[in-house]
Amino acid sequence: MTILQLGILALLAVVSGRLKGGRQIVLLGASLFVMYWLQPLQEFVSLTFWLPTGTIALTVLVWLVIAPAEMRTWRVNANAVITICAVILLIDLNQFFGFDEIYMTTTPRLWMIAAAVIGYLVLLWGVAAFPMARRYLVGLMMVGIVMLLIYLKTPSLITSTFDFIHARRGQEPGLAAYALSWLGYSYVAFRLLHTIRDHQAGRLPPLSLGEYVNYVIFFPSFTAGPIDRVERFIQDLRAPPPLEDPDWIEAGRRFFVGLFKKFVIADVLFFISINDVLVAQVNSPGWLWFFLYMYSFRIYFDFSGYTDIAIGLARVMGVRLPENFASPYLKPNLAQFWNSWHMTLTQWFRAYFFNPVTRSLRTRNFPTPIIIFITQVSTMILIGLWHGVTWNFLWWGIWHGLGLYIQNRWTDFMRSRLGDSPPAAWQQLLHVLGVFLTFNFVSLGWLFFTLSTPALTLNAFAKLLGIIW
Amino acid sequence: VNKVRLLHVLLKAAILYVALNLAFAFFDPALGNLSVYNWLVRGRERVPYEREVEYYGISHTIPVYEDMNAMYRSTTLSQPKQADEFRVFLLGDSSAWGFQLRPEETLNSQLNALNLTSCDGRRITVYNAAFPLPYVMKDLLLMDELLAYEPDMFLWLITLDSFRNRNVFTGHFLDPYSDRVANLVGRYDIQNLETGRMKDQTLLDRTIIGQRSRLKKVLLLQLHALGWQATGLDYYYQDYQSPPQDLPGDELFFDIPPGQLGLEDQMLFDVLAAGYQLADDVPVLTVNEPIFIASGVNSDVRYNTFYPRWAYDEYLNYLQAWMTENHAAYLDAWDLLPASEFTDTPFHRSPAGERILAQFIAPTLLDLSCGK
Repeated sequence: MTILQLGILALLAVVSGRLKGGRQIVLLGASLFVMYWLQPLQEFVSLTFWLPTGTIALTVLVWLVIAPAEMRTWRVNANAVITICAVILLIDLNQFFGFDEIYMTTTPRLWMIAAAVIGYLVLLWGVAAFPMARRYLVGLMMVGIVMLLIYLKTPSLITSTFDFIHARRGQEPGLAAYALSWLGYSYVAFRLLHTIRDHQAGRLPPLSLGEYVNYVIFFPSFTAGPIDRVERFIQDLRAPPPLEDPDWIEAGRRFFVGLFKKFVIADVLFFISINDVLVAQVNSPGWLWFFLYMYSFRIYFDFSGYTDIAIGLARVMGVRLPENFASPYLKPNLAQFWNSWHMTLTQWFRAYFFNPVTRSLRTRNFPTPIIIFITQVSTMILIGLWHGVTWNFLWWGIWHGLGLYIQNRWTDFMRSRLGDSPPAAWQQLLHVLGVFLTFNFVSLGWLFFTLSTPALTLNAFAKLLGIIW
Repeated sequence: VNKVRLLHVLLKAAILYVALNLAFAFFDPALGNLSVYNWLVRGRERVPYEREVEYYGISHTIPVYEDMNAMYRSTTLSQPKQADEFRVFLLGDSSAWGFQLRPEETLNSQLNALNLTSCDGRRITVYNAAFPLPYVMKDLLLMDELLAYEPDMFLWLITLDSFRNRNVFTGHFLDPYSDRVANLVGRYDIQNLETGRMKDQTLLDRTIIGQRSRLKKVLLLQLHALGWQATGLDYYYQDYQSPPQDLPGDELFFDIPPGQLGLEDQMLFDVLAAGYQLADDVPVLTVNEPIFIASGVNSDVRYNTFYPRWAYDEYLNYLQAWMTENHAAYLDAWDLLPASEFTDTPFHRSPAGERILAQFIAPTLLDLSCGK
């Protein structure tokens, strides 16, 4: 996102936050518009329209399946339905308005929209008319959301699809790999899965369509998190705490600190951060370590900057988004690092994967070290693959999974030797040493994250350690 | 009360913002002087340049022609002059800068490798001050800037293309220096330069807002210093095809038909004259640089894809007459190199080609350094 776009979002947030009545609907409309507006232009131009529309369609479908009957009445949802339809229609009408500075004007023809809406309404009617089917649909949708996520995160599948389409059209395939950028889907998927699982567990509060869609596509956190929990989000949405002066100051502070982190620090560090080219060019381990450390700081300032911006924007709308970072590079071990880096993501995986798998393995009487190994490595592999289904993200997950396991075993071993509280002098020394080791372990892990292939990563490891030049 | 305070804060911020911009516009702080080169990292061997934005990260560079100060501060020529040093500044286009060549392969490096010494025992050190654009007006502007770096001689590489008016796609090099260009035009009575496209800078142009692009580039140049120091690379080397031996049959020099070259009244020879006057007592050695001479189809019509024979021959005769008439130090190297010593264009030379040219130039350079 550019500073201008963020400025417009800030203005939108301030206006939405000041509203006394109709706040939810205005917020819904704003989030819908922003979703279309920020969607990057796609190889097949019409996808630029259909991908955000797909997000809405999927979200509405999930809501229809998980919402209780009393929340699915026309009276409760009329405003939201009209708002959603109106926004889609307005976006599509841009082919006549011609505001090409704001959004593309090559939107699909109206009859295409009408056909899609009719088809979709038939689907919704089917879901509503056969309540028994909804139970199966819940499971089916979970699988579908995950499969779609896997598809979008697998570059080779995307390229194959585009090549196939080009071949069908009799066109030459492109030279470079294709990218399909469905804005925000990674986070949308997590929010949808979270609500489906909570629905299955009977924990999901009753939600209207407007509330649910607002939660899923809330514009400050739509593209880069944090991943809020719906039961907490909905409290702020329904009854936002009054905005006092300190709230404005705090919101402004977070917003501007975020801008500074992202557009000054991170964007400057971009030029001196390790990448494929530097690994091939640099001729001393010292410089390579320097560029690696710069990357570590860059990714932190970039991501935490966006989080600060999101938290600041949401705050002026009366929504207190959860924190996502808590000085992660100052943590003395890897477990604490992961409790303070992209916290809402790790909390999500802990709640919906790590804990259930651990419980399941315990009931099967696996030895504790085996349980810890399986759960930690598999959780971290999944977190790695969530960033992209590539070998390097897989290795990144394994790197951290093994790191967490070794740290866990080492802590147990040391505790058996030194007891729960080692001497004070030891504690300080161990803390400093721990911070140093953790930071370096994480930094080395970023090699998998930022370099494009395992071979290049291995080469970088060898160069950093002075093995080859 | 808090809202009033907030308004006060915003008002103060706005006033400060305007005041800073105005102060910047009026005092024009030479931020280009603040360079990490030559102290934190080593200076570059040639001015920062790269053709495409996407290569900047690969070649650890960014062109900053908008700030000549920053541009030259990033190179070794801004280091203090040594007592035993005879400084020669190389001016010219992309072939002088060294497209497709590593810094140690360029013409100035090849001349330095000859370990030349002036009559008074000073080391002759040739610095690459060229910016890759064939345009003598740009060279004149650079010469004006370079006088501050204590030159003992200028080595000026030219070709026919350098004398064309660049009013379409490369005129922007002069844009940030409209005042200086106007001054040079007035001082040396330059008639042929087309200045219609140039605009005087407004007050807004001189503020931080107006200068933000330049300031950003200057900052990025400092950041790229680390990549330069770590890799020693300043150019993205790509595979290339040699210039074709078979040529098109037309006789146009760009869009100029035979007989309409206008060497006297349209080409920038008055800028060349201005260069000699500007340098004053600093000797200038002008070299008509080598060109690729094709031998295939239509080589009787054209020398290469750039030059039809009629235009280049006309230029060659005029140049020789002009140099004789003005008693200027001059070397003609146009046909010095075989076709095999050119790389990707009819002008860019191979390392071996640079070595041959350096050996060709060296005796005259030595003579001039001795005041002959």
